[in-house]
Amino acid sequence: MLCIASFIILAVLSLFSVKYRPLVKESLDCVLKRVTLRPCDTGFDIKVRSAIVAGLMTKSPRLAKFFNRRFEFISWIFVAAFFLSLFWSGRGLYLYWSTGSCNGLNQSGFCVLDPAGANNEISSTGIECKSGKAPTDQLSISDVDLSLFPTFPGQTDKELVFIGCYACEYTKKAYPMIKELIDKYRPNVTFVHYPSRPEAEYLMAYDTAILKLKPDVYFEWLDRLYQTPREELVNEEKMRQAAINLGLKAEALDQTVQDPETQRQVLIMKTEIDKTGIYGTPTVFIDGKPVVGPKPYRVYRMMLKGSWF
Amino acid sequence: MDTQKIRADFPLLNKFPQLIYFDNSCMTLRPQPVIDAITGYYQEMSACAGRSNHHLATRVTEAVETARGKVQQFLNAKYTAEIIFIRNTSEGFNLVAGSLDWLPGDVILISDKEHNSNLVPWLRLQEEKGIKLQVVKSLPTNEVDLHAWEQAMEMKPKLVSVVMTSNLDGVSNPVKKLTEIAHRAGALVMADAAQAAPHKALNVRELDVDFLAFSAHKLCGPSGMGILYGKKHLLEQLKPFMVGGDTVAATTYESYKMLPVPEKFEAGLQDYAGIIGTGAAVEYLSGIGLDKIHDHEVELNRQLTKKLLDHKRVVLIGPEQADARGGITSFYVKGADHHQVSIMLDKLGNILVRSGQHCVHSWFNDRKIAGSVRASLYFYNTSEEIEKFSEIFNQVMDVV
Repeated sequence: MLCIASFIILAVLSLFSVKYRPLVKESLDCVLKRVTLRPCDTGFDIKVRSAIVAGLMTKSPRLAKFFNRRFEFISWIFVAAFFLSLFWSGRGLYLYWSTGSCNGLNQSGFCVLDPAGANNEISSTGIECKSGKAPTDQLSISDVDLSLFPTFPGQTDKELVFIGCYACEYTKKAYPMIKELIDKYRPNVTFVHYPSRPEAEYLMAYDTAILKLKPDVYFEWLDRLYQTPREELVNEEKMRQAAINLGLKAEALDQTVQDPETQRQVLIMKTEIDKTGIYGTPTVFIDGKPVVGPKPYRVYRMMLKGSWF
Repeated sequence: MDTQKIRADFPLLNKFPQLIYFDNSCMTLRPQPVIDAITGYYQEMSACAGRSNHHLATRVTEAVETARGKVQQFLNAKYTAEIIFIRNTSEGFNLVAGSLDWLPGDVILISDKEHNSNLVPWLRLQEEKGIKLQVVKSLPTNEVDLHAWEQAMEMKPKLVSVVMTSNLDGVSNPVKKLTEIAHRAGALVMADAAQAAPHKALNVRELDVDFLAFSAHKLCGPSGMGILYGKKHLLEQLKPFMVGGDTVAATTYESYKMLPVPEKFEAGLQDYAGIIGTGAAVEYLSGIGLDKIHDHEVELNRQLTKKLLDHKRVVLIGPEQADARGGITSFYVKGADHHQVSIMLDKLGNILVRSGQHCVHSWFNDRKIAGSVRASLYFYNTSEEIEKFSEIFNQVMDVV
């Protein structure tokens, strides 16, 4: 039975080296015979068996004898293990393609295709993960009043909520993809600034002020924030100036930012964000389904469109 | 015979001293004089024979004819014209099969241990020309049944085509006796000497066979070279099955005039390096002495047979006495796959033997035997190698 597993392995190897091609033919012949319930008379399985037994003999003749006697049974185990492994590899590949992680959406276990875990990196909000597993099942926007946040109607019934932190590297990585997605697929969008970095918390009041005073420049403001390096973001005077450069009047801006009503609204927003249960940024909710970490564009697109194409 | 001195002639054995080469029935190793003769052609003369008149071509023509002369001596043929250079033994059989005049109902007799090269050409003739191929069975010991042959002659065969030494089990047929019987019945005789010519002195005049073929690669010569011997008057009557360049003396747009033998059978430009190498090979073997070679092989085979028969699961093909099997021992192990035994001998001890049906599928299929392991010895093999074989074979037997 070993020829079945060997055929697949050799077929892959033969793509890279011609020396495996005759063996592929031999193993294929053997496979065709075995699947039609005929004995493999090509000698292929004997070659494999003999090579393994001879190799084992140099280590342990008893083990070699056992292997030789139980070859068929052991082959079946190998074949079963091979197909299981093949299934899991295929599943991993599919999940990587569709979710950005071999282990599934928002799962941060080791993935050979993303060994550094770049697609799951987040700026932590400080909530401890239990058992090393992210509490994605607690993520929800169903109890959150999204009307408190900058919300823009789209041209579809799809809904995208982008929770990010202006000063955080991973949110900055995800933002351009989200922007492209919005431009292309026009979902209903809500932007939420969650200040994973406390030094950027003051920007919530600026967001509120800009929406109140000059909502038409909000996207420009967002672009500016996500393009600005963290060191500059924590400099309130610089960001104030950036807002003024977008056409806001300095006096009105300052008044609105310092307005107790604005501060109260910021507090309410923070309380609302905590209801989502997020543990890191960026977190994107697409039709209510959470996507944590900066995923490849295809993942967001597939979730938004509901298909690969 | 100084085996160590002989082994020094073989570059492959010098390069891989651990190698134990027991697959000589398939292909022998080449000594330096043969390699030198082959490369000498390319380095020193590398031109056409029998065509051009420049001095290089003349040297090639002379070298080719010298090689023909060496083969003539090797076989003790009467004329050099009786030696035709071909590609291998198979081509020899095909040449005779394709050149004799056949009529529907003509009978050809062969033994039941023929190599495919002495079976398939006749099977094809049976299909295409309606000849009748009859197989004469051997005795249960795989030795020739002369009585059966005597009886078969009543069919008035046109040709008896028989192996001299079987590559299956090493058993030699009494070709001289068979030839007498066949000639009495008016049949021509063709001998397959592929496994005989490398191992024992042949005397075609004494054997009185009409045709005889063998390959050079089995007697330390180059690959892709063979010899067809034929009695001159018979060769002159045959129509070559392949014609073209260098087979004709002259042509017009309407006709052609064939050259005499042997040229009329050597169509196209020949493998001059191979021919010269073949001459060097038969000279090399003659220098050692075919009788000494045969005795050495038989002695080694006795040792090998004794070691093998220590194992109850080993079944020898052919007679148990090594003397009756020359340098060949073919066997299988009950309950074990012959390929596995062969591969493990290689993997564990660098021992190269053949496994399978050795191109004698018909014999194995008739007896429903899957195949065998074949150890075939030659003059450069040693007793130490037999000992090593035995040691590794014992290990293999413990596992399979």
